[in-house]
Amino acid sequence: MLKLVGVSKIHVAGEVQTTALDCIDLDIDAGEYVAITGPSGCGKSTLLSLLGLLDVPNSGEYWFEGQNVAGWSEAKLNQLRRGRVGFIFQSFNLIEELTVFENVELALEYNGTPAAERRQRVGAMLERLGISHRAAHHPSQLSGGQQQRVAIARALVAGPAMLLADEPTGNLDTAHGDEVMRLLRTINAEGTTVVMVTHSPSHAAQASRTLHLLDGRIVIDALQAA
Amino acid sequence: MKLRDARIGWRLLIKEPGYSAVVIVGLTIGFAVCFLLLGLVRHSFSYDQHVPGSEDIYILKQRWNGPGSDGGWSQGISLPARDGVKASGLQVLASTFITRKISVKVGAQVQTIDITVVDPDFQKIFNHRVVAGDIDAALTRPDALALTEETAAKLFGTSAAVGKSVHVAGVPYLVSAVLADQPAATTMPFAALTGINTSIWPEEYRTLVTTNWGSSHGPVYVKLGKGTPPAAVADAVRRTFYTSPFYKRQTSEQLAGLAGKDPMEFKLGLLREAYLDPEVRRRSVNHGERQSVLGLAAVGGLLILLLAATNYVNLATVRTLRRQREIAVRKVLGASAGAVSRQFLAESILVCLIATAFGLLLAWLLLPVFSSLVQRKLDMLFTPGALMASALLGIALGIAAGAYPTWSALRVRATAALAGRGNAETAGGLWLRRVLTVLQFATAMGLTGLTLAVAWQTSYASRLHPGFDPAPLLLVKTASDMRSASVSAFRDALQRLPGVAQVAVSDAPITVNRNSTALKRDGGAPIEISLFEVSPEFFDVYGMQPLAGRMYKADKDTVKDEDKIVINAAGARKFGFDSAQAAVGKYVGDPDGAGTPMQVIGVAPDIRHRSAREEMQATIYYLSERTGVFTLRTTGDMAGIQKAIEEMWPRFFPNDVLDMQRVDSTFAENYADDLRLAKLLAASSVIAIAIAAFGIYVLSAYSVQRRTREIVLRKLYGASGAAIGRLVAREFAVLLGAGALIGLPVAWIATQRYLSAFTERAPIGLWAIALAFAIALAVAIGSSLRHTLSAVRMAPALALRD
Repeated sequence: MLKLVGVSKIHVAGEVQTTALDCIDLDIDAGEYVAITGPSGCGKSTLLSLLGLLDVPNSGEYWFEGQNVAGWSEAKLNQLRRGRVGFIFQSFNLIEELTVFENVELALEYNGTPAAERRQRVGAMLERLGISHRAAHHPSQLSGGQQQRVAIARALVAGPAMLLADEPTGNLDTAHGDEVMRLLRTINAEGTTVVMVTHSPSHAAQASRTLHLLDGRIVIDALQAA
Repeated sequence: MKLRDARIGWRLLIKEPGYSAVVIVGLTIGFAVCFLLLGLVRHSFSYDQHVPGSEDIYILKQRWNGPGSDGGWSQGISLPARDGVKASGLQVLASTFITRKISVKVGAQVQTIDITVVDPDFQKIFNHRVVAGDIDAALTRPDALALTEETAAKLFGTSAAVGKSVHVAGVPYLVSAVLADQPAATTMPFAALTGINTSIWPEEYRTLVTTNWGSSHGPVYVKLGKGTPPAAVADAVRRTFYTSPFYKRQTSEQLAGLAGKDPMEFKLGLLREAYLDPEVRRRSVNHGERQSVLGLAAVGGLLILLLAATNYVNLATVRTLRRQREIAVRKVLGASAGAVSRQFLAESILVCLIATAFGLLLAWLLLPVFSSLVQRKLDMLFTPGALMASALLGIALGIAAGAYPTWSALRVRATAALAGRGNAETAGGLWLRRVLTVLQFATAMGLTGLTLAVAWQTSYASRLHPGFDPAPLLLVKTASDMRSASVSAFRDALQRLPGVAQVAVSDAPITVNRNSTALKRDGGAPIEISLFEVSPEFFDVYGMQPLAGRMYKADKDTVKDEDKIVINAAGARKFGFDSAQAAVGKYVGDPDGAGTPMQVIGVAPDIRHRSAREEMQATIYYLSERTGVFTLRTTGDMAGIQKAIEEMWPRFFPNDVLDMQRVDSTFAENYADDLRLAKLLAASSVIAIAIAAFGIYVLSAYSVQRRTREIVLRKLYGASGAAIGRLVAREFAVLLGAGALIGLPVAWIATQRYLSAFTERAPIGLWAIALAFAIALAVAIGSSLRHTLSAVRMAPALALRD
């Protein structure tokens, strides 16, 4: 599904250059559940951004579903990403001005889904995640766990082939964190590729494959026992 | 644009009511001012467009080239020029248009109206809509007139006035027609029309008006037949002028002084362009200055809105920076550049449309005050077309003001924003917004400085000593002169009133001294000098002592002594006398030697007949019976005397309206335009300051937000509250300084240009611009105080948490 060949990413801030990813080679097949771990500043989030088509590498090749997207424009990446990749963030990143329903609907709105179908799919997704009774609320009126469930609903509603999660349990207590992890396993079991960045060894252990990054390089690429 | 986008915009407005109010109020004020100013501009360009066939209608223009002329063209014409048009043999229609105030009596009530004398061709030229009656009769019968609907309602309480009579000077006149009211945008407003043969005009006045090339009384309108060139008409007038006694009286010396020009020149200008004709310099209700109108368009249409919109741009940019995470999420979810743009532009358009609606309401509320300030009846401002144009302008403004915040939103990098490394706006963008804020301050300071200067000069000029003490003097005007028994009897009655020390009569109020003639002394060159006809008591009543020779005295001189004149000091200088004393006993007379020479019996000190814009006029005072304006020197209770005059007036002039005022108040009238200008500028200054205040408020909010981390870190390392305050204030100090560098020199130049129109100038040094700077400084401090204090009080732990 994804293939990175000799990918490097350098962040430039003024005259200072920081190598976030250093000549990475990586293959991820459809249906995998990959956990990315490593210390702060090792390049986890940068890798996730590249995988999610939010950024482009400075060098190397990035094959996404058979197309080398290295050097593509933001608009083209945007088009490719629409509906194919879902995102979950540590801080949820819900839009306060929108209701729960509207936040989830946003993912369908931008890929041109008709309004009637949007309503039906959002309703079903909220129902599935057990938050349909909160549809008219705004994010600040929800608990952290509920907010993350809304974010997951938003990430899944368009039926993406891949779900990228950046520290999805980082802002949650243990109970809510475990609940989110259960959801991710279920989603992966249903065939969605999941790539998750985490600091938690126990959460990483729930994935089928673990990548450990250090100084922009993959130092461990290990399959977990089922 | 989707309804959802507008809905989110509305939620944002509700969420931050303080900021929303600041932006909407600023834009509302800007829009209201813009609407009114652009409405005035539109009004100015619509003059006479309603006249059918106006493309063939011209107004005759006349230019005097004699000494003392300002070289400008005038639309007030010597009436014999009209005869020149008619005698041209060309296919033309021509009509004069001379307006005078008259008193008319209907029943027991006496009112003042303007009566306009026109030729019978007037209706053929303009084809005014006749509501009722016979307009031809009104313009041909000497005892008939036509009223507009408004005047008929004023006099009779109804527009059905045909067949009724009004009395003028005791003589009945038949209302033969009622005409529809004209739109306000006309250069020829009238309340009542009558024909050139009317008996309302006294014979002496008719003779003066119809035969004298040396006086101008009103416009002459000309309608050209197909193929008639305007220049041919002007040529015909010139040929007629060459045959006139006025031209023949010109000495070779006088003609030589004109450097080959005629003493008078004529040309035709299109009626449709008459209001803004740049060749006509006189400012009046019927004439506008093209430069001022276009200046208003530039200031109103561009600057004010730009300044107001700047605040929106600033605030929206601040919000955009705060909303980076939201924008990033939208992008991550697949929002295209078009979708992000639509969202931000929808919000901007929503704000601008709300401000447009409030702006229209504010403009409607301010319209009476604005109309009064600009002295124009703006009756066509709130038309459906104007409202539609306003809505479109609101949308256009929304797009323009939203462009920069939208661009900022499009620049947001999703990965950086989601990682909490929000990218601030570019240095270029920041500088652009700073420049706009500097422009706000420059405008506010410039306008304030100019306002202070104009206000002070107006106050200074109106307090200038006129050369006599006006306080005890009272002015009473009659419609006739001392040759009339009733006027003479009125003078005697005034003299007998308790509290009245002495009574003088002159041909005009002291501040109206517009008649002039050419005279020369023996061996001297002809000069243009003002004429003022007075009674022998004049100088005693005004308390003026001679500089040389003597003044008129009631016991020595009579009104028949027309060969004895008093000249003022400016006149003595202009005649070329070495001193006031040297003028006494000398003779002056017509340049061509006609008429009796007049002997100078004394030289009076200069007194201010006109405003401080003009030099002291060279003036001769001569004795005459053609005087009907009384000046009373009072010693008692002025109010009691005025009441006594009001009571006795109807006994002497039952058909006339009493016109009485204190002499000191007549001087203020000279500066009515300046006072209006000062008020208009003051209003503009307040608006500019308010907009600048909003601007600095918003900018300070942005600045504090942008520098939160820096402020917190400084505090962590021990920065005091004062140090943080200085840090925040430094940015505004720089902007204020830059605004001062731009705005204050412009204010200084504008002030000097304004003052250059005056011969007597207030000693305005640097204090006006210094005060303008101080006001702007106070506004800047006041506006930025809230956010500066919030920076001072910022809790480091709280801020670092994000």
